[in-house]
Amino acid sequence: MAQYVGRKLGYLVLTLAAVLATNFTLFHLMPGDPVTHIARGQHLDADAIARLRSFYGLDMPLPSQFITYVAHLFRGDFGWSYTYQTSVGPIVAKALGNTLILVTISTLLVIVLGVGIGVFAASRRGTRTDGGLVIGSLVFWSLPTFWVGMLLIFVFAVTLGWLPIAGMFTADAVYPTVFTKIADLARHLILPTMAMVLVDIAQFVLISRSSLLAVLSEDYMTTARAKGLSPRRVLWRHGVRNALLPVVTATSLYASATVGGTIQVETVFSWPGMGQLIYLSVIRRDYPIMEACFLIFAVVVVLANFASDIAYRLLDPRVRLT
Amino acid sequence: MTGPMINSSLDAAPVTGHVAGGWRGVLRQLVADRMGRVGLVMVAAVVLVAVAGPLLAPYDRTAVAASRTGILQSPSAAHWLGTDELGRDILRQVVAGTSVSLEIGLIATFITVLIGTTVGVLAGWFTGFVDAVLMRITDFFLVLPSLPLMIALGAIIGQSLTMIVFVIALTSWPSTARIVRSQALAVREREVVARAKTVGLSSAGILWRLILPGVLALVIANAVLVIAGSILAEATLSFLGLGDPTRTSWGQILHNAFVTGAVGNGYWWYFLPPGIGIVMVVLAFSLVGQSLERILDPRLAAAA
Amino acid sequence: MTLLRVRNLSVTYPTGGVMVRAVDGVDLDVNPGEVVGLAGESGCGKSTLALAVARLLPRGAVVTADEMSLDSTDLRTVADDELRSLRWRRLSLVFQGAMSGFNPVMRIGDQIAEAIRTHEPDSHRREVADRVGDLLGQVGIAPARSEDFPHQMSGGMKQRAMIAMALACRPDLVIADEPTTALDVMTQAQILDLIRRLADELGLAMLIISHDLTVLAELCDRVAVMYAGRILECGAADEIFGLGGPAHPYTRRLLDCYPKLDGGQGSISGIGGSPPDLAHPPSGCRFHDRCDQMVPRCSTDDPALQMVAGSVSHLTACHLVGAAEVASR
Repeated sequence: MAQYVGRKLGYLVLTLAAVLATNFTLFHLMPGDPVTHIARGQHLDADAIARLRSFYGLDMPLPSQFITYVAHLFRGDFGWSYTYQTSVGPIVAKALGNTLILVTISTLLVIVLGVGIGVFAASRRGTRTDGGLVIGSLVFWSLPTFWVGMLLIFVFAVTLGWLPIAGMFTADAVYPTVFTKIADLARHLILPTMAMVLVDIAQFVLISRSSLLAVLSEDYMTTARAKGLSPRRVLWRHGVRNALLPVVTATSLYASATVGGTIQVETVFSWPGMGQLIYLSVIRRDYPIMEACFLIFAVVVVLANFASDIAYRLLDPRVRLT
Repeated sequence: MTGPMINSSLDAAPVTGHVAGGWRGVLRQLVADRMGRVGLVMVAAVVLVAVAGPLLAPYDRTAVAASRTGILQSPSAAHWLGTDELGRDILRQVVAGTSVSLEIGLIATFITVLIGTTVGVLAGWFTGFVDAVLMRITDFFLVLPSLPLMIALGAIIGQSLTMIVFVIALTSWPSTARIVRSQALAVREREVVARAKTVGLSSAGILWRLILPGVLALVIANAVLVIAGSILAEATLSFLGLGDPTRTSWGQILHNAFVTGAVGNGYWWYFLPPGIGIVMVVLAFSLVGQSLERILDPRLAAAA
Repeated sequence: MTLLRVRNLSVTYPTGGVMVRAVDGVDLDVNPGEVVGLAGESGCGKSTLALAVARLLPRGAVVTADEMSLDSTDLRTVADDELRSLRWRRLSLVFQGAMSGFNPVMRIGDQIAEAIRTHEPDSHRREVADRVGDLLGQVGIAPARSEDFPHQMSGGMKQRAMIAMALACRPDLVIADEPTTALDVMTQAQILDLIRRLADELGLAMLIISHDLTVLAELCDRVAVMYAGRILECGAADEIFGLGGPAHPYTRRLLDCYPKLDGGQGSISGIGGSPPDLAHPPSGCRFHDRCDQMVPRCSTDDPALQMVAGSVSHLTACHLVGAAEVASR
């Protein structure tokens, strides 16, 4: 087991290095020299431009630019934002926290509800309920996440007025206690979470359903029933336990999908997280922020894949150790 | 940003590629399957609107309203779906959007499938070092989250539909490559190939005459699902502001609606129809794609 | 006092819109301590019969019988919780362990222990572990292997572990479905020896299902032969395989499918044609279109089981038996 983890760690490090290199290449080699963008509206003379370039380290050869870049990263220095005129790190850190609140809750819901509904559908196989759930999942998967967000706002916030339209907290609110603050946060969380869950849940429903159906026809399920085990034990300890394996594999792909969903939902709901940050950075062409966001997103997904690989190995003893 | 629908069995084990009655048999089974039938009808309807729409009710971007009273009107006899913030007819925009969205989806899919199939077949055929290298690259692209990558590239390259097609293809080819590779590996193991080798058929010959046809069925089923994913991807990118403002895709209309505050102000006629259009098209191709997959892969059929 | 008594058992289930009668009016008896064999080609309904008796068929299957009882328990109407309680303690099954009979993500020892703990919930962990070790030892597996996962064991070892698990709660009747299929010949022989030895030592009653008549000839006290959902021949093993040999043409052909040591070069043959479509069974004797001794009556009248002349328990369903002498080989 230790050998397996070690090997996966090695790949992890290599992949992270590749991500760093990709990030650097994207934002430093592609057309669109940042200084040109800054200088555009300001009519700077050649001298000022040269000094700006020096400030951003753009006059050095590329390899050393890369090394400087990595060194800065390890010190926690993510660069200087053009638009906010302050260090990128703290901005991104704050946004990350806000995103994590949204993502953690929706991921939990997606997995628990998705697998639960999938298991339910499998147990009702061939009935109209099952057929309905499958079609329903296909329909929900076809919905663009951002559009679902817009619909939810229109129905629940604008028309019915039950929930807030956007944001994480009510603007200029004063909170007498921590609980009122949490309550306000919760009210603001409901619609964005719904938007994230509704679309992504479909994948899990379909995968857990088909996985469980395949497992149910295996001989060891008959053996378990023949042994006189309770139906619940047969379903969960023997059935679902085996059916979970493809679901775990799915979570690694889900991580990438979640990032996409986050960006869309935060944009529509003006949720002050990483998703909205990257969206705004596109509008304002603030490359240091964009770069930092991209890096964080990529690293998180790579880490999620790593965790998923380890989890899979823990669940499936057949995975070879070497 | 969701990519093409995950193959719901998630198993790398490949498809037989054998269907009774060849392609006509597949078509017949597709029509017989309720899901496939509905999907085909929907696809036909979409294509009809895409082709006939611009001819029967062409959209003119420059036909702005003469006065303020013409803008953001709710549906009426003159404008069945109302007007946008510049007074332009929304129904015509949505109809025009059909062909734009479809066009982008198809082109992006074509490139995706081209790259993905090439990489997959080469990796599956040559195995060994070539396979390892290609798969490392493929896995790396799979791990990079697609929407941030598309956003970054879009911001850097600049707004245009060509850019959108490019970035969609760039983030979609890896999953096609993986699927094609495992099928190519299986075809390679078949006796037919061994016999061809002994008869002296060259590698290129075998690739072209045996491997490629062997993976074709799966590629097509996958391609249909990729179309669905590409249309969704384009809609998302355009919505986020990376599309071409002069081309009326549904995502672009939704972008305009959003920045105009259509949601907050309740101009439902502006943002509902384009969204419904997206759902219809994506659903149509998903139904056909899922049905095709079920027909071509007996294991999935048993689990359905 | 018969242990397992089955009268007129029929099993029907829907397949692709049609009703298929996999088992059609079968009678079967197993006495305490007796080893009974059930033979037939694939698809003849023998596994379905076993699963029907054990009430393990999937939803949708319709099971009818005039009688189906294990000692004094009526298996047709027994309540769910009583059924679960008699499972494994009075009736256990052995599936093809070499395939996917074991849960791949659970240790072998844990799966055996699970059976014990379900029926004896108050047992100590140490006690259960010891019993698991003993059971494995009984079938020739080192007790330390109880920590293994199924994929770490060979096919033969897994089959033996399956047998050990079936014995865990000291059942009265063990049904073994194709216990030696999917194993190589050497391992098959070992498993057969093991089964015979255990049956003798423990005084178990067993119902062994196999397509291989030679396996059954070795192991069983009584044998029944199934074809297309019906029993064509049954009786004591030495009556069927001894002296004149099997009475039914099908059984003789089935026996000819397996090589004999003294049979010389041409001793194997197959049976032409294929089993009938159970959704639309043929009229008359179900075997008539593949039988080389068919007479016109065979295609119209369905023969009933009749006692073979000169025997004590040998029954067969063939028009040619009891009428003119069946042509000798």
